[in-house]
Amino acid sequence: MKIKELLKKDIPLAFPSGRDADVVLRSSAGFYRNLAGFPFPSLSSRADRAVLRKMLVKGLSCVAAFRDAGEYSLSGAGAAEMRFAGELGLAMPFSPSSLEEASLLVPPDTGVIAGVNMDETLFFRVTREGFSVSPTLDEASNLDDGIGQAVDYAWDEELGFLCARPARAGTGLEASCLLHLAGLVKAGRISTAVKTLVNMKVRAQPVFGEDPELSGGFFLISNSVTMGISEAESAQCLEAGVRLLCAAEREARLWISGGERHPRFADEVWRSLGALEHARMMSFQEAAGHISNVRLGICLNMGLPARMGLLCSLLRDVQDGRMALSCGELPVAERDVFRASYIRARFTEARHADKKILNNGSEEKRNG
Amino acid sequence: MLCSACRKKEAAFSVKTVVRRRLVELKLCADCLHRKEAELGLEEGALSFYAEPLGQAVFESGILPREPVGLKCPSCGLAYAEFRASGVLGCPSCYQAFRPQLKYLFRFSQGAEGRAGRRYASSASNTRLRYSVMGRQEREAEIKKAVAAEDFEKAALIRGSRRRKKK
Repeated sequence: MKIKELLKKDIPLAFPSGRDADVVLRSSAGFYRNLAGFPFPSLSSRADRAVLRKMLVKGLSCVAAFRDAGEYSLSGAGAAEMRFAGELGLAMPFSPSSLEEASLLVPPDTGVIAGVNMDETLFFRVTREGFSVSPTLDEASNLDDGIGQAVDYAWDEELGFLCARPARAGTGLEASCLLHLAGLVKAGRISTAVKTLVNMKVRAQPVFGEDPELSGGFFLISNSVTMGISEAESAQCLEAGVRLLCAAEREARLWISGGERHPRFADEVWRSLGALEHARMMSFQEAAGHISNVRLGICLNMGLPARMGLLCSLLRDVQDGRMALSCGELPVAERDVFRASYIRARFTEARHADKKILNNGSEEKRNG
Repeated sequence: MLCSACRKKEAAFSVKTVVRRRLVELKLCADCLHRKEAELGLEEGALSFYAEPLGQAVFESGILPREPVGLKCPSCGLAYAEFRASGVLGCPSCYQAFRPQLKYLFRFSQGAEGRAGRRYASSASNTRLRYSVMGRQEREAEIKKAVAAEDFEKAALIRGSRRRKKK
């Protein structure tokens, strides 16, 4: 199957519910792995990659989670497809020629995904709702054990799992949480909060662009060390960092929405809702900023007529790569017009659905 | 240039520090650098990561592994200089070929030289899987190679994988 087919799958970027869902949008844990006796993807020949792909597809099918997985080929993928795969959180191969035997495996449970022959030979990841690092890591470790029984990982007794990028060697673990830290960004406290993570072996990166103020204050918090630390310790460090940020974010949210600052803040939130519902042209960064403001308003119980689920799916669906795949490669201005009309349509659809539910409810009351 | 602290040995590192609100550049030998780390309550090697190496003296100090000239991975042929430029290794054997350099890198970038956490043990079934996805000619060549090397166990394993595939 072509990668475009993945648009039909509901691969989650953020979840509306879960533990600490007001700040933590999702938790992920995954592993980078290479196979013994084969060069890493940067130097492997096409024949090697073909053998690796066959082996890994067969090996992954031995694991229950990937038994009915669909394979989505990246062969002949263009810029839009590459961007889309990047938006799914998958690092792309080192050179476009390596795309020939690269593919993604997505089972019916779309919280699990695997990339074969990408920048490492194998990467698989489990994504779950809310703040659930340890359970997600356990699930990913079980997958790792199953796959490791079927294929032979590149392993060194002293250095651990061997990766093309030495920064991943050791555990090969990538554990992360997507956080909504708009309160800290608006309060001007984000750099102080991020600095406290340095000694916790955790790093924070803004997700949708370099400037978090413009792109809604979404941050990916992930483990920064893979050598000399166990998988469980990495998860504990990440949990500690996220807990710290959650507390700081809630405090900042109360500060920006309290006292004299409330009217200005409320105005900003309601304006953002208006922009999403009525704007005629919108870049992704602007959309992310407005979605962030509305999300903040919902979390602070400001009585906004919008649902968290809609905002989460919009945040995923209006990204550049996904838009380019669904409407074709358009000039920037036309794509922004398409994005704005798509957002308006989704809001209208959600409003109709809400009205329908309300009408059904009142009819049931009358009948009952 | 002599070390600005002991004035006896050749300076190997340049360290910038603030003394009484003024930026001061210290040129230190390896011993004085370690002493400075101890004074500041830092782990051994922590300061040399931030210090700027001064010519060849830094390699003679033994802190930094000597920059290898012409070092290549015997398996994939990747030169160490190429790895330094791209940051990407070529194959699992590169870890063996560049081990001292990589250990230095791990010590200073990740704070440890060795792994921790889960162990991994491969099983025979994955070797079988590897041969089962090969083409017939490739498999025959592997069998011939194994027989020539008198590794009959491996030859049997490859043949076994073919039978399994036929079934």
